[in-house]
Amino acid sequence: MEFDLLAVMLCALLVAPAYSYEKALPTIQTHDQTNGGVYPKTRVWGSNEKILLHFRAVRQLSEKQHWSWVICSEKIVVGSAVTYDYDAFGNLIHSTGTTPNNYLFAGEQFDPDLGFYYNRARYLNTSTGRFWTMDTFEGYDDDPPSLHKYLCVEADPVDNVDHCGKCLPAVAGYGDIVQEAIFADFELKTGGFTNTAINDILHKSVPSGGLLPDLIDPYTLSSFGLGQIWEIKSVYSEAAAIAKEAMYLSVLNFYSKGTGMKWIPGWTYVPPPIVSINASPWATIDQPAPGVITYCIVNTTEILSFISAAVSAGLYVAVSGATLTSSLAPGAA
Amino acid sequence: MRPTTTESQLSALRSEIAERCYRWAAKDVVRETAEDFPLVRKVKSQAAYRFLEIAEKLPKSERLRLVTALVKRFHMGGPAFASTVTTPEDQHLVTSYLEYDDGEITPGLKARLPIIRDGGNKQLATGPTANRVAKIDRSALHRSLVEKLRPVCGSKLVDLGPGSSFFESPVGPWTVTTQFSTASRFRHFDYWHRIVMPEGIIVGEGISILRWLGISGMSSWTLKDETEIEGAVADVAGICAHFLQETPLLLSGLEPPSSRGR
Repeated sequence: MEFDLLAVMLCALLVAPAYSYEKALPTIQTHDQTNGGVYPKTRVWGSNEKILLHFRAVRQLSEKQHWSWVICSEKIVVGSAVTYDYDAFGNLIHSTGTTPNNYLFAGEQFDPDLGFYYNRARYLNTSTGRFWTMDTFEGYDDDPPSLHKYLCVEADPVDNVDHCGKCLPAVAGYGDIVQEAIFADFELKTGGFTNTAINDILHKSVPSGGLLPDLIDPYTLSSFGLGQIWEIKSVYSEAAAIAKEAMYLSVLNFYSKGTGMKWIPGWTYVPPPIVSINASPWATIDQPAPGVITYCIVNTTEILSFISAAVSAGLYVAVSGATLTSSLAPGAA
Repeated sequence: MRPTTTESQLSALRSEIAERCYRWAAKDVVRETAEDFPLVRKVKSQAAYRFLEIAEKLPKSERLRLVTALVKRFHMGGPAFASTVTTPEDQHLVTSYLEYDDGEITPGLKARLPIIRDGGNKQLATGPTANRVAKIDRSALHRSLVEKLRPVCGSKLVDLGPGSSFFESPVGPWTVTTQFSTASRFRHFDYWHRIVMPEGIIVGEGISILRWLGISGMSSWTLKDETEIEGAVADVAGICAHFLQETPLLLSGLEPPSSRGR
């Protein structure tokens, strides 16, 4: 059994500070004798911690590739070569090498007795793509796969990764950022509240009370007994925004009878005309109707690409036209 | 359209309560400023961070001028009352506050985006993954809020549906409620108080620390992870206790309208 001790130590020094699997390590098999013949345990790592760190380093480098279903890189462990090929969900398709190893797909620990992966927060069954137990996170209403209690990486293992056995870390769209910016502006300027359930607004539990209007201002026109609400949507969902606004108003007004308060589509608040998301993209904001705010994401890079493509296409047409013209000209070959 | 007697009574009552709340908040903001904003610092929201950043750049005398102007903003019991207390200098200070943009950290529109703080260095976190709030167990958060607020905000808890509840605390003929919600995906939780008539009609609305100081409309918390739940819940309980112990004085001598025509 040979290995380059210097390389191993160097590798350990470089990688150990970023390593994050410490909790899983104590269960590594280090027995060098059989256990009543039922669960044969083979000496794998020996007592040399440096060898273990060597394996960690190689695994760390290949982890991302597992999730992308790129064939995983070769792992050199104690002089032996082991390779693993998985499908996208982590089911083993093919492997080479005989060195026993339970740290398999995505570097997670496989429990051969259960047949599941131990992903810390929960056990994962790769054959079904489901976790064994429920997700503690309730999910987002606007992200239906996140509501599923057992799905792993929202059933999209090619694009998503799981690092802890919990629900997929969500990625906010630009629309959320635009909404956040308008929320901040609205709260700052009007003193109103945002994204609040109708039950909370009315101070009582009513049917459809879980609906959440985006902007609520019960103050500005309170001396007239009027409250205002707004709905924010993408410019492509303007009709849906108008419909939702009407629904909110009907619920609010129906259950506000006798309180001296009427709810109307908002008109006193003027949102910022442009929200800068970053250097690029940004969003233009519009109020097409009372109580409705729409935004349109504009991406500078895409616009430049489009202009570039249009210019290139124009040149191509011009050149092609010139070539055609010249080829049809009298005397052309 | 001429308002009915009932609507007039309600309107007058709401104005009276708004004015009382303003008078109380005007005193409270002096205390808060003198003590270097201990309650505002408990609120974990970008609106609070933004305000503190502005305040910390000002000398103490300027801070008091700013907060005195801000505190008038959200207590307007109608245009008549507002015009008596708001001066042109106040309007100038408020405009400066709203338009504050230090060019690198918290432009007004981005007040809700997270600021990455690394020692003395700060930068605004932007990009498609920047602003989604961390995933935490909201049921546990709600349970924790109920547990910690119960001793402070009254024993009667009313459930309003998923993630929303309020406590009721009687103050003479009035009921002061403490409402809290973990329902919004844009923050972890928020809270506010209301003053409610015996018939259940709301006459004092949206009373919360950032709002009564004129900083922002909502007092909400966005946490980094579950380890912050306990501290945040204790903080909001402390802020609620601060307001609720003032309510008997705030509402003293104020009676609900004796009769209401329907």
